[in-house]
Amino acid sequence: MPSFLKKNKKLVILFSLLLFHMILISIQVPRGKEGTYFESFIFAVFSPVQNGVVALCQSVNRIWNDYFYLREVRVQNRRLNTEVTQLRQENTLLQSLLKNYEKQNEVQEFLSDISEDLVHCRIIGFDMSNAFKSVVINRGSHHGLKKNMVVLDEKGHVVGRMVDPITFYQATVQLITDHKSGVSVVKQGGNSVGILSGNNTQMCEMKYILSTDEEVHTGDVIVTTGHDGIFPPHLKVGMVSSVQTTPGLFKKIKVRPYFQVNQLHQLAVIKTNANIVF
Amino acid sequence: MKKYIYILLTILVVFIVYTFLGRISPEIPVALNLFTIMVVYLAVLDGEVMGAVFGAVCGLIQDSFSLGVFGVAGIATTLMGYLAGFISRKIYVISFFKIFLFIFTMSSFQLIVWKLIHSFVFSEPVFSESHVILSQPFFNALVGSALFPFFRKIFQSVSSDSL
Repeated sequence: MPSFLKKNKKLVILFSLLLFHMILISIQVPRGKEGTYFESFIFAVFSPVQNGVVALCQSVNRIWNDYFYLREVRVQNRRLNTEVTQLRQENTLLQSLLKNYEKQNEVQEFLSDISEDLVHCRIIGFDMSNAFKSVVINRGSHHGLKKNMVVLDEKGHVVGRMVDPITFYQATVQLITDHKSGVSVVKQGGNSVGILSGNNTQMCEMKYILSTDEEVHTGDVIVTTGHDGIFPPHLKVGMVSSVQTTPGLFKKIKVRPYFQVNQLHQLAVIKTNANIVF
Repeated sequence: MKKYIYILLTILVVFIVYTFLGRISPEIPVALNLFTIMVVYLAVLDGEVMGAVFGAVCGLIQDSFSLGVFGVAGIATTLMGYLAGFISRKIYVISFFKIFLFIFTMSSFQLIVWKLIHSFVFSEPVFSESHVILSQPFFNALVGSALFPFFRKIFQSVSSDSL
């Protein structure tokens, strides 16, 4: 037996590596979508590198812009941009939520709560297999972020939700354009509830709308329903770009999300559990 | 020992370059897989065992920064690394056109294996993804064959020092 191993040393190494991978894949089956410790470990080791590279790029960019071009105006503009972004995010959330709160004191209480519950972050990396699947952000469990928290873009539109792996200072966000994502959505002001799912491209698909349904049309705004227990209701998701009636039971509805992956920079995470606040 | 430190540094540099390319456009790291290029390089220069081990490490790094089942890219890259090392022992792949063709073939093989396992695990059609990834073998071959002489010089100097 040892002579056989010695003779086929290279093949033994190959099969050991393949077996190792098989075991890694197998142990994920009972864990479901929960990440393994090994995966979290690799993510924790390399994500700070990503964070460092992005910080360095931004610093170089900032130095160039600040010191060589219109220093004062740039600084002021950046501050105002950040402020506008935060106000837009808060405004979008508040507009959709004010309907739920009739009493003035409840509104005041909520205003202070929601402002504290938004964690602003920036993207430091994109999914290695497909940029439309996930992004890595520079905030993690240290900032109070947890799995399934909802992530918004600069204008307060839905981008995705937090998924594993989440480390102290970095975390992964599953985009709504991912093939495996699912969001309960409805036409704004309508009743046709469907499931919005990505197809690993810039477009999403609104599923399970009956062919007999005449409510959804091109140009309609799609918002969350809150039925999935993850995404709060009334958040804008995207706009219907095409509606096709198929011979099957359901219509084929394409939805264009409001964000574009290559233009995403700043994001905001809603820290509070959606079921409690909304 | 020096060689292994050099390999670890290579992984780090590739990861930094990958992050930097992602800053320019998120689709560049999908179209150009620097990890695959490095696995082919090391397999050609050091043999199938190095190709398989380095492939496993690089594949798992890619898996941890990608949604989906952890280990799928690892299997594809391990197999590709081993095969690249094995074939490069049988044929001479140092010239520009041969290394271009070699990297193209190896990248295509890796992509096919990854796609097949991915489709099997997730029960989804083979071509459900964005088509950018299909250009990966070409860009890998183009960039890989252009940088190969430079990398070979560095690797050979490090290897001779360690001996």
